[in-house]
Amino acid sequence: MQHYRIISFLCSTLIMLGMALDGWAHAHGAVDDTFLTPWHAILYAGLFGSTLWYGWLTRQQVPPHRPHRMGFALLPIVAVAGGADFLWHNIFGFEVDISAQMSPPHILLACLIATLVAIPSSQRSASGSLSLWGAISGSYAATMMLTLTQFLSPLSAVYAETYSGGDTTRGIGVTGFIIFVAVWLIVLLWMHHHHAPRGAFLLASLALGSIHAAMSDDWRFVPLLGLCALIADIRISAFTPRTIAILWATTFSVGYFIILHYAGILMWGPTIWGGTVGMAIAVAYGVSSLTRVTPLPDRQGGIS
Amino acid sequence: MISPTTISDSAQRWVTRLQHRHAMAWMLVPGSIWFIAGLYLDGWAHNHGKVDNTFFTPWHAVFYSGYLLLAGTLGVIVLLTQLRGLTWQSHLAPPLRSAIIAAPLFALAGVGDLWWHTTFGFETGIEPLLSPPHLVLASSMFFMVGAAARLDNGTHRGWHQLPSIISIAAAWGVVTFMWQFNHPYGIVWPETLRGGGPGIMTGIAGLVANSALTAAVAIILATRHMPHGALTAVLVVNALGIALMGDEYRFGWSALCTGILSEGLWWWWRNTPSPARLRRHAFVVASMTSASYMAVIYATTAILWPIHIWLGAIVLAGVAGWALTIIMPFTAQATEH
Repeated sequence: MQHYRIISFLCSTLIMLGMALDGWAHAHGAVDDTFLTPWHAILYAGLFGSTLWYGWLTRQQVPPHRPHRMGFALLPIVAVAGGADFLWHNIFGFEVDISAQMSPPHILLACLIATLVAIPSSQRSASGSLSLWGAISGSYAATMMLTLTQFLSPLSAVYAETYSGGDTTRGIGVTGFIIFVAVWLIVLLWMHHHHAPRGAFLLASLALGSIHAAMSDDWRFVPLLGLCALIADIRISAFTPRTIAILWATTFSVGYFIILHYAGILMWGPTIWGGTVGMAIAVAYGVSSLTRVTPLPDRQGGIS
Repeated sequence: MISPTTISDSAQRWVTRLQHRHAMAWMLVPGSIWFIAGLYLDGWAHNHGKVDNTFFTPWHAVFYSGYLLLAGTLGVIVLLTQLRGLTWQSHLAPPLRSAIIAAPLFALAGVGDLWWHTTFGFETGIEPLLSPPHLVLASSMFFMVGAAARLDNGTHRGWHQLPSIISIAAAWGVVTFMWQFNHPYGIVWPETLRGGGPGIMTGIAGLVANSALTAAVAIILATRHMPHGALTAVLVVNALGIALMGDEYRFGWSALCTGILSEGLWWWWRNTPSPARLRRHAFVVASMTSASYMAVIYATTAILWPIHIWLGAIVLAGVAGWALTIIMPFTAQATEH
C-alpha cells in the first residue's frame, strides 16, 4: 500500500515541478510563442499521468475509492480546460502580465491542478492522521493558488522595498502580505488538525518558498519560512491552534521586516510595518477561530 | 467585596435574572450600536473634511460617549456578578471576560496613541488605518461590540437572536472600517485606469479579501441558525456604512442582491449534506459579492478591466471563500462556548 501512496505523491510533485518550471520560464523569458515547450511537456505529463494513475488505482480498487475516482474523472475536465483556454485566447486574445494569471481558464486550470495535487492527502492512517506525503500534497494546493496570485505574494513581489506608487503600492503590499499569511495559516492549521507528522509543515514551507524564490530570483525569505515552520512544528502540548497560528504569524511578519531592514531596503515607516505585523496577528486570531468546532446545520438550516 | 446577604431577596432575583446570558447580550446592544455608529460618524467626518485640528468634535463626542456607555454596561455586569457573591474572572462567560479586559485596554491604547504620535509624528494617507495603537483600539472595540454574539450559545432561535445579529454586524463593521485602505468601495478600481497594473492588483486583492470576509460572516450566520433576512440585513448595513466614507451608496444594491440570492440558495439547498452545503454556500456568497459589485459598476459607469481580470476575480473570490471552510471541523457536537 505504501508504494501506491508514494507514487501518488510523486505524481503531485511532478505537476508542481512542471508548474514551477513553466512559471520560471515565463519569468525569465525562456518561452517562445508556442505551446510546445519542455516545461509544458512536464506539466501536462504530470496532469495526464496523474489522472491515468488514479484511473488505474480505481480499477484496482485501491482505497480511498472516492478521491481516486474523482482524480480519474478529472481527465476529461483537464482536456476541456485546456480547450477552453485555447478558445478563450481565440475569442478574447492573448493575455499579458496580470491578465495571464487572472483569466478564468487559467484559474480553472489552477483549481484543477490544486484539486489533483491534493488527492494524496485523502490517504490517512488507521488513526485518521495525515501521512508526511499526504500533508505535503495537501499543501501543494495552497502553493498552487499562491503561485497563481504571486503578484500579491510578499515572497516574490516585495512592495515594502519600493516607495513609488504611494498609498496604492503600500495598500497592495499590506493586502498581499495579509492574504499570504491567511492562506499559509490555513495550511498550518489544517496540518495541525489532522495530526500531520513533524516536519511536514517545514517541507511544505520550503517547497513554497523555493518555488516563489526561483521565479523572482529572491531567496532571502526561504530560510525565514523554514525557521518559522520549525517553530510552529514544535507543537508544545499546551499550545492551542490559536497560539500556534499567532506564533507563526508573529515570527514570520517580524522576521520578514527584519530581513528587509538588514538585507534590503525597508521603505515603509514604523506605522506601516508595525501595523502590518498587527494585522497579521489579527488575521491569525481570525483564521484560527475557524478551527473551532462547527455544528452541522440540519436540513432546515438549523443546528443538529 | 459585596456579600450576597447584603441585598434583599427580590433584588437577588433581579440580579440572577440579569445574569442570564441572553439578558446580558441585550444589555450590551445599545452601547454596541452607539459605539459603532460613533466610529462610522467620525470616519465620515474625516473623509468629508468636517474635522479641525482638535480633539473636541461632535463626532468624537458621539464615539467616546458610545465607548463610555458600553464600558459602563460592562461595569454594571461586573457589579451584578459581585452582588451575587461571585467574581467576574471565574464566573462570567469568556466572551464577557474578554470584553471586560478590552474596555480598559481601549483607554490605554488611547494613551499609547498619544505616545506614538509624539514619537513618530501624525499619520497620513493609509497610515491611520495601520498604526499599531489604532489597531489595538480597533481590536479592543471588536471584543467589546462582539461580546453579545459570542454569548449566543444557540438556545434562542429566530429573531430572539437579534442581539447576536447586531453584535456580528458591529464587529464586522470594525473589521471593514480598518480595511478601508483597500476596501473595494473606497477607490473603485474596475472603473478607473489610474494606477495601471498596481491599481488592478490592488483592486483584485481588495475585492477577493472582502469577498472572503463576507463569506466568513455568512458561514458564521448560517451555522448559528439565524433567521431569514439576517444575512441580507448585515450585508446591507455594512455596505451602507462603508459607502458613507466615499458616498458610494450604489453598492448597497450589490449587498442587497448578494444577501437575497445567497439566502435563497441556502434555503434551496436544504437537502444537501451539511458540510458540502456550507462549502458551496461560502463559494457562492464570495463569488456573488464580487459579481454583484461588478454588475453595479457595469450598470452605473463602465468596467474598464479586461474580461480576463474581472471574470477571473469573481472566480478567485469564490475559491477564497470556499478555502475558508477547509479548516472548519464540522461535527454534530454543540459549539464550544
